[in-house]
Amino acid sequence: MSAREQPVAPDSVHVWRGFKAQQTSYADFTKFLGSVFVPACALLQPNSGLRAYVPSMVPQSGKPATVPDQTALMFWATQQAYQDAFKTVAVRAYTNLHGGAYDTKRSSAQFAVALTAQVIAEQPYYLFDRPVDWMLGNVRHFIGARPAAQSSSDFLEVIGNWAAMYQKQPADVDGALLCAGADYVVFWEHRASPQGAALSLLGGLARLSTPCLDKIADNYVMPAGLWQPWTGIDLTQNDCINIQLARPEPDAGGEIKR
Amino acid sequence: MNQAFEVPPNAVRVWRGYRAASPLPTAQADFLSKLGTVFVPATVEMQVKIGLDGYIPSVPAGLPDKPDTVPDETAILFWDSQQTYTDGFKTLAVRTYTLTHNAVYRPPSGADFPTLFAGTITSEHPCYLIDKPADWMKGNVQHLAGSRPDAVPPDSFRAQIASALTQIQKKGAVSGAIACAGDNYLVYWELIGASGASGIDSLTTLLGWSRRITPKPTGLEKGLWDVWPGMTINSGDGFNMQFKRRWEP
Repeated sequence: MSAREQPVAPDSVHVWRGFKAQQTSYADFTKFLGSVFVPACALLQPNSGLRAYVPSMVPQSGKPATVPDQTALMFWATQQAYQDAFKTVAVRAYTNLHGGAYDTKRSSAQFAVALTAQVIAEQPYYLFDRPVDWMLGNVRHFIGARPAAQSSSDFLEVIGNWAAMYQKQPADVDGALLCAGADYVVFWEHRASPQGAALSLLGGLARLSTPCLDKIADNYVMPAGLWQPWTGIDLTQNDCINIQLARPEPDAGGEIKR
Repeated sequence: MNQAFEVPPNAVRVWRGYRAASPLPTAQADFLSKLGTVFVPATVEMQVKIGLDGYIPSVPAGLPDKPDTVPDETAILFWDSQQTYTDGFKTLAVRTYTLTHNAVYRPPSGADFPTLFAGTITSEHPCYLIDKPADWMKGNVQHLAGSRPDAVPPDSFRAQIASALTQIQKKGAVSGAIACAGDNYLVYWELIGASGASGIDSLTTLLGWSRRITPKPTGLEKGLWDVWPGMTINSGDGFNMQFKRRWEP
């Protein structure tokens, strides 16, 4: 059965850039995320308002340490739904998981804001102001590192210029999210269908940075619930996924019933 | 109405938890808050469907004069069987629940299954005194937590405790009894039987600091995804959590 569309406003997405804890190997980091953290996010939070979840692992070969090890988009029904989620035991329990896996000083998530002027480091932006259901359709994700010879301020400036140009052109893209740090850029674009993907302007971003990841997210259906035996998601095989959440269906009036 | 259910006496995890050190002046209050808003409700709500049959947490943390060597939180968690507990880790719910604890507790926090008491106590090895199944959730439970007196060496402390436990076991007047002693503490739970007899007084005289706690039968008001601030937990509280077991209609 196909899921009903549940569009989310572009300012209701939390954009996560995660760096693994220094004492944790990438193999252990990936195993922990796959066996507990990522599936727990996907199973514990939809009943509290999570509407789409697109986690990705960043290949380590040649990746500078200043580029995130994991990224994720978490779309909430509204920003208020995100705040209210902490009023439930399920989300409070999930939140308590964060401690050991990540370098909490470097990892962070913020809600996206409209890109109207220059790009500020570590501030996520949305490029199109319209509600979209990112769980359905086609998501392409790009991660790049700042060229070594370029200053951080120059890097942010050229990324900002590219984003301004991007906002004017892609007719078939209905959602786009950008975040740049002093040393990296992460970008996602959404299309209702995959047909236009070849026309993406992402090639321009790839020329402005050293690409670390450029993938179309695979739809991933969870094979088990919270209480069934299951080892979790193999994130070495499923490294860029759009998890098909079991979301509460809206009723005829559009209200979500938990 | 919940039915009585006979849980095997060795299918219980005996938890002794020590609060993680923190320089924050709010650390004690934060610990109690975390227990009430996350851990205690989540223990029930995330594990009942796996086969949790009883859960009795108590909180000596913050009681006046409690030595740091006495656990800050104790709990006994009853399962259908030891295998049920082990199988729980194959599920995401139990893996998630287990990992929520890391930031809050410090070594040597941990839990173990008990073995039948045979006259001696091994440090940090829980034992049960009554070799009969019982339903602790439906009964009157008493809990004792206390410290080794300063003047008594650890080996002598455990020998004295073992002697008192031997008497309790011989009398057989309680419906269930579980104990665990370390070098510096004793934790003991008793399921009071029809006679009302208790061995707690005989153990209390062997302790330095001690506190007797009567876990209060307590149901949860809300489910995992309901808006709810959680339970209010204070130092010295104990709870005999009441819930519908997975096999109950």
